[in-house]
Amino acid sequence: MTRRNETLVPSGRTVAVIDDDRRVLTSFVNLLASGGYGTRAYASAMDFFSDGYSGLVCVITDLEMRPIDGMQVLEKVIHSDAALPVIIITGKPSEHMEDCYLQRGALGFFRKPIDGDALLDLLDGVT
Amino acid sequence: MLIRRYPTAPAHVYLFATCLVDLFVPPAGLDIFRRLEREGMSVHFPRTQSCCGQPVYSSGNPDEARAVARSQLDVFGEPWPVIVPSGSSAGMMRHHCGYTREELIGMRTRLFDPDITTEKIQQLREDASATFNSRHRRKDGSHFPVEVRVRAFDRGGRLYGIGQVSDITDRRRREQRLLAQFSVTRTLSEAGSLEEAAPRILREMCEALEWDCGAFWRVDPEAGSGSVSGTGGFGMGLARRVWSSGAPICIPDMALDREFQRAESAAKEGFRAAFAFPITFKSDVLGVIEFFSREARDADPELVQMMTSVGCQVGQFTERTRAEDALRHAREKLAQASRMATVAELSASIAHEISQPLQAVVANGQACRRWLAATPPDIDQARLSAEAIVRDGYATADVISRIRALFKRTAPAKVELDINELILQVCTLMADDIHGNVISLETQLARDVPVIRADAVQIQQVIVNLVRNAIEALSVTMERKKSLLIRSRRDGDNVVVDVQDEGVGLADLEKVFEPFTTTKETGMGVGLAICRSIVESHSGRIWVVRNEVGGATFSFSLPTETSDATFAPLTAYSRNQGRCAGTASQIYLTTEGFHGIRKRIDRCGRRRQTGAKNASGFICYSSEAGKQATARNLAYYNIRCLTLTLNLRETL
Repeated sequence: MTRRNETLVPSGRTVAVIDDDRRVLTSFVNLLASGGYGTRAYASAMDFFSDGYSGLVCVITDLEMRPIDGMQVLEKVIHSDAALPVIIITGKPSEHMEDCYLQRGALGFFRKPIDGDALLDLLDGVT
Repeated sequence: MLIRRYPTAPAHVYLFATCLVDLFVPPAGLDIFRRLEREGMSVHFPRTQSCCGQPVYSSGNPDEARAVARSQLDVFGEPWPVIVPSGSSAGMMRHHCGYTREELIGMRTRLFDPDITTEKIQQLREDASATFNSRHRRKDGSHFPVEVRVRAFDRGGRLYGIGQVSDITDRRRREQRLLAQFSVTRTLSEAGSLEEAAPRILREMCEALEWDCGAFWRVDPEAGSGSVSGTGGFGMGLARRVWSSGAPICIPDMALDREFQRAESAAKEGFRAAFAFPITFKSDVLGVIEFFSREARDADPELVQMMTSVGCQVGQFTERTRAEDALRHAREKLAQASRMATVAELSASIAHEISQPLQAVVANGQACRRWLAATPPDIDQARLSAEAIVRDGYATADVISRIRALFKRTAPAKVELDINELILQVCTLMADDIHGNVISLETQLARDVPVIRADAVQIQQVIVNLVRNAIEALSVTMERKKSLLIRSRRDGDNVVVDVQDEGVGLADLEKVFEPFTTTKETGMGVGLAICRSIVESHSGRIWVVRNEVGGATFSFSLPTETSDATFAPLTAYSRNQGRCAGTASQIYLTTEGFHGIRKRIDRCGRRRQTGAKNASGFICYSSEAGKQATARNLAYYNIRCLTLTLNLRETL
C-alpha cells in the first residue's frame, strides 16, 4: 500500500492525508490537487508512520480511526524531529471544541464536511 | 351422701355490675372482678351496660322494660355466662333473656323456632331422625342460631320427637370469621391494586361478619390525612382516632358513647355499633378499615385479633403493591431513558455514516470548482471530479437505504431461496469494501444445501451484517494477509452459514448479540442484535466462536421447511446484473428493488441499443417491484428475457 495515491508536484507542496474512508481520502486528494498540492494518502495511521515524514509540509488526519487515532497522530507528529503542522478533521458531531485540539498543538480543526477553500488557505499559510 | 357436680369454670365470663353496685359500692364490683380472675376466668366488663330494666318494669311498663333489657342483652353478645351480683337484677335479665322451663312446656315449636317448616317435619316423619340448623327465638324476640338433632317416634299414630338443641352462636361466628379471613386472603392474592381489593374486602367482610356498612380509609402520607373509599362513603371521626392511636376501637353502641362526638349523625344513619382497626405495615398506619352495624354489638378479643391480622395482611399487600408500582415506574423510566439514549445514539451514528460520503461529495465539488476556475481551466480534472461527485452521491443514497433496510421491521415474507445465491449476491454487493480493504475472500458453498423458505431481504441483511463486521475486524488487524471465508453447509435438517475472519476477534462472546454492544467507535451496536432477531424469527439460531488461529466465526442456521408448493418458483437471476444474459431478443424487463442497480442495468441495455453494436438492439424496461413487473409483462407480452433480483420487496 506504500505510496499508492501519491501525486507528484514540485517539492515543498506535498501533504499527507490520513482517513480510513477511501472515498473521503480520494476526494481530499482531488481537492488538494486542485489547490496545487501533492498528496500522500493513507488509509491508516500505521501506513503513514511506516512511510516516514520526509518531503512533507503538513499532515491532515481524520480523528476517528483504529487502531491509531488522530489524537495519537497529532501527539506523535508534533513531538517528532520533523515537527510538522497537523490539521485535524472529524466527522463526529459531538466531540471536544476546536480549542481543545489547537491547545494540544494542532494547526487547524475542521468538521466534515469541511470548507475546502479554508483548508487550502490554511495550507497556503504554512507553505 | 349428696354429690353435687359443678360445671367446669368457663374461660370467659361477663360481669353485669348493676346500677346499685356501680353507684353505691364500686369497690364491690372490683372485688368481684378480682375474685373471678383469681379463679382463672377472663372477665369482660362491657362499658355500655346500664340498667337491667327493673325500675321501669316495677313501675308497670313491661314493654319499655323489654326494650331496655334487649339493649343490655345485645351488649353480652357472646355465649358466655353473665355474672350478676344481684338476685333481682339477674332474675330480670333472665326473665327477658329466655323462656323458663315452665313457660316452654306445652309451647308450640313454631313459637320459638321460626325456621321450622313442613318440609322439615315431613323429613322427620320419613327418616325418623333429622339434623338441621335453625334459629331459636328468645323471650325478648331476639334470635340465636341453633343446631337441632331430633329423633322421631310414632305413638298411637301421633308423631313425637326427642330433640337436642345446641346453641351454635360460637361455632357460627368462628365459621364466619374463617370465611371472612379466607375471603380477604383470596381477594388480596387476586387483586392487582388496593383500589381493586378494598371494595371487595369490605363487601366480603360485611357479608361474612354481618356488618351493615364498611369504609376504607387510606392515609395519604403527603397530606397526612385520610381519603375515603368505602361502601357507604361514610365516616364518623372514628378513622382519625384509630389512625392517631394505631389501635382498634370498638364502640358497641354509639348512642351511649359519650366520647363519640358524632353519635347523632350515626343515629340518623341508623347505626349503633362501630368497629375500626388500622391497616398496618411494621409500625406505620397506612389506613383504617371501619364497619358499622345497625345492631349494638361488642367486639371480643378473638375478633380484635382477627381484625388486627387482617389489618396486617392488607398493610403488607399495600406495601407490596406500592413497591411493585415504584419498581414498574422505575422500569418505565429506565426504558424511556434507554429509548432516548437509543435515539441519540442512532442519530449520532447515522449522522456519521452519512457525513462520510457527503464529505467526499463536497470535497470533490470544491475541487471541481477550482479546476474550472484555474487558468487555463483543467476540464479533464473537472470532469473527473464531477464523476466522483455523482459516484459519491450514489454512495450516500446507498448508505441511507442501507440504514433504512437495517431498521425495516416487517414480518418475514418467506419465499423459497437458495442460500448460495444469497451469499454470492452479498459478495457482489460488498465487492468494493472487500477489495478496498485488500481482503482475500474465499467462498465454500456446499452443493447439497437444500432450498429454504425465508425472507430473502432479511437473510441478506444478516449476511451483509456478518460480512461487514468481518471486514471491519480485518481492516484494523496488523496482519498483512487478511482472509475472509464464507461457507454454506448442510447440518441435518438445517442450512448453516459461517462467516469466518482472521481479524482482531472479540473480547466478550456472550454479549455481542445484545443491543448497543459495540467494539467499534462508530457503530451503533445494533447490527448483531438485529441479526439475532431476524434469525430467531425464522426459527433459526445464531452464534459465534473464537477461531484457534485468531478472529471469530459467526454462524447461523436456518431450518429447512417442506415447501407448501403454492409458490411457483421463478427463474431467479441475481448475479452479474450489469450484463444482460439470455438470448438476444426485442425486449428486456429488469426487476430490481435497488435504484442504483436498476439504473446501471438500464444504462447498460440502452447503450447497446443506441450504440447499435448489437444489430437486433434491446428495448429495456425496468421496474422496482414484482407487481409492477407483472403489470408490464401483461402489457408487453413479447418480453423474452426477465432479469430478476431475489430481494424484491413483495412477491409476485
